[in-house]
Amino acid sequence: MPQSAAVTLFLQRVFDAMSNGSAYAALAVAISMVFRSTGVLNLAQGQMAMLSAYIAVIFASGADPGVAFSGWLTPFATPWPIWASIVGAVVISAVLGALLEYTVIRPMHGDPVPTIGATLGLYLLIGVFVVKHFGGRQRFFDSPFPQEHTDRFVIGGARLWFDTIGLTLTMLAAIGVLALIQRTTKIGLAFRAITSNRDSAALLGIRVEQVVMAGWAVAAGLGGLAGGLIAGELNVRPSMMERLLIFGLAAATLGGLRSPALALAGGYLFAFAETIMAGYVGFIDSQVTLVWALGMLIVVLSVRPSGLLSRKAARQGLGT
Amino acid sequence: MIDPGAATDPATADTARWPSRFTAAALAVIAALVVVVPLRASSTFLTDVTQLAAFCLVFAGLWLLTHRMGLLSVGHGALTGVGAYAALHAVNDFGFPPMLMPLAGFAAGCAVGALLGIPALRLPKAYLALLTLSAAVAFPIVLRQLDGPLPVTLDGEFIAPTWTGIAPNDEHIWEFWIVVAWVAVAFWLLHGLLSGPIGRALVATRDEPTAASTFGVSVYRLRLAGVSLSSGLAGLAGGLMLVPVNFNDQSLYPEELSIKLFALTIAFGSTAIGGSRLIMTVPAAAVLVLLPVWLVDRPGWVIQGGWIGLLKAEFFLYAVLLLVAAYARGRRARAVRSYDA
Repeated sequence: MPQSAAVTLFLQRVFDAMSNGSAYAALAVAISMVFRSTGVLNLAQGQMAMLSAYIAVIFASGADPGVAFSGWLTPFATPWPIWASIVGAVVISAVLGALLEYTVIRPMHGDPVPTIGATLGLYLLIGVFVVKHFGGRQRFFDSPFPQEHTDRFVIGGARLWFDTIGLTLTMLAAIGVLALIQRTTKIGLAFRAITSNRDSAALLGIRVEQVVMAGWAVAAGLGGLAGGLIAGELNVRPSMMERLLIFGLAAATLGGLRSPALALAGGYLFAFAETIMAGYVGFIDSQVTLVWALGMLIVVLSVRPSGLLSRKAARQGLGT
Repeated sequence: MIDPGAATDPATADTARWPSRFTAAALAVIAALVVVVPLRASSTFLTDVTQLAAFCLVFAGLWLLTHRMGLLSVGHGALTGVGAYAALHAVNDFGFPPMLMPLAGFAAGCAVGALLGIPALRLPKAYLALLTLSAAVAFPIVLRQLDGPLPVTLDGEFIAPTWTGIAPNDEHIWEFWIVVAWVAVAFWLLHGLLSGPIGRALVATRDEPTAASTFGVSVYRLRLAGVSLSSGLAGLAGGLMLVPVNFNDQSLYPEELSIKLFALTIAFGSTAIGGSRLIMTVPAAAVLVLLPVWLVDRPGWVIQGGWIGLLKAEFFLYAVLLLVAAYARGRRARAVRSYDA
């Protein structure tokens, strides 16, 4: 292969990885946010994002008798625009996230066995709910970004689609806004106080339970945004988030499950590594990359148990 | 030393005056069923019951991990598959006697359990759940890559000796007894292990790891040994699964199996009957194996959609079971905390 063609192919693979990387990063950040504030590993995060994608489909379908629950939208009659559908799904996901924290997670009182059990219960419940109401078949959902064959840049011979750029920038913007809120607002300060020391935060008068509930809502909303945006790429189906959840969990461990910034970096790192491995290593196809992610997870945890955080930051739980 | 009064802790109830009168009665009933059921039941039902017996071992491993050690595994379905894979290839590729192939499954289960446990046990408990869930999702893909998309048949048979009086067409009876014999021996050894100082040390690593460490217990190593043993039991069960079905296939060990196993362990494992919790592996395995059989006889239930279809779905039942069991355990944790306060 001529050198320029090899470079073009490499660039193309890097560009292709960006969409997946954004989805992995969003899930990883959501998982990290919940874990650092509550110590709960939310194994249902992927399913919540999948449900959000279905909610977006309902809004975008309007009063379509072929889509479950869309009859509830009869007063609105016409289908919603794609962006409005995604925003609607994010809002409903956030409300659902807060509700689940209040009704399912809070009664577990931090005991890890029942809490993990509860998140797995939600994992099954959401999955079976979607299968029974929407069926197992795929639903199509348009991307909110231009997707014509001319909607692209050509860089070094490789095609960078507007869709990929839009998805990546939207996810980065959403995560950036969250980071800004954490750093500059009172609720952000309260959230940081709780992640640092929950008991001291409570003694200072911070309403810990409300802030944790808000954290779940934001994490669910972020996962919902990932679900809505990636739905245009993957098509909406009950199993759409299984792979993404594993990569999201693996990415989150790079930040020791506590650092959203490193989880974000981990999401892109895993996506790039996945695409490059599938492209250049003969015996690794796109399915087997999942196994590679598991292998990486074991290696990372063996070599750097606290992820890429410094040991001091990991001990203090202050990695950002 | 570990508190000798630990035997009164419900978690260590198996060590107190075992077998209790109720447990002895339950064991007698099970022994009678083991003899009578194969002579009366159809071959299909007996195959299900044979699998049920093997799954008891998986539940025993999970019970050890979850309730004895306070650790979490959401990947025991995959570990069972690992055992099945190793046992099958031990026979097909290395000429292992079929009767001893479950040992290969046990060894493979122990090895994979240790591989997952070594990094995860140095970290908070959630990491073991994370790694085992990832293994559960990845395992069918690995198996398809290793064995291909089609089932692989076992190159071995289980022919009943003539002294048993079992007719050539009734080999499923012999297979059932082989599996039950393996399970009984494994349970006996496990009970012996848990009744001794190792069993008490495991409880100590769960409840008071610092105190256990002070008294010379290597918490990390003991936990690692516990995770390996638990995984080994799942692997042993995987090897035994091959006895009645004679083939291995990626579709037998989906990630949902691991979640179902975890759900039933949470739901049944915190209950003791007549002082024994290991007995509870039997009803847990019965639900796991017989519920789908019962649902298959109601095809309308499986395909029905909407709210009614949701209520009749197998996964809905498991989800409710998990949520209710988790809620009950959370309430207990709160009650204990209030009492301590």
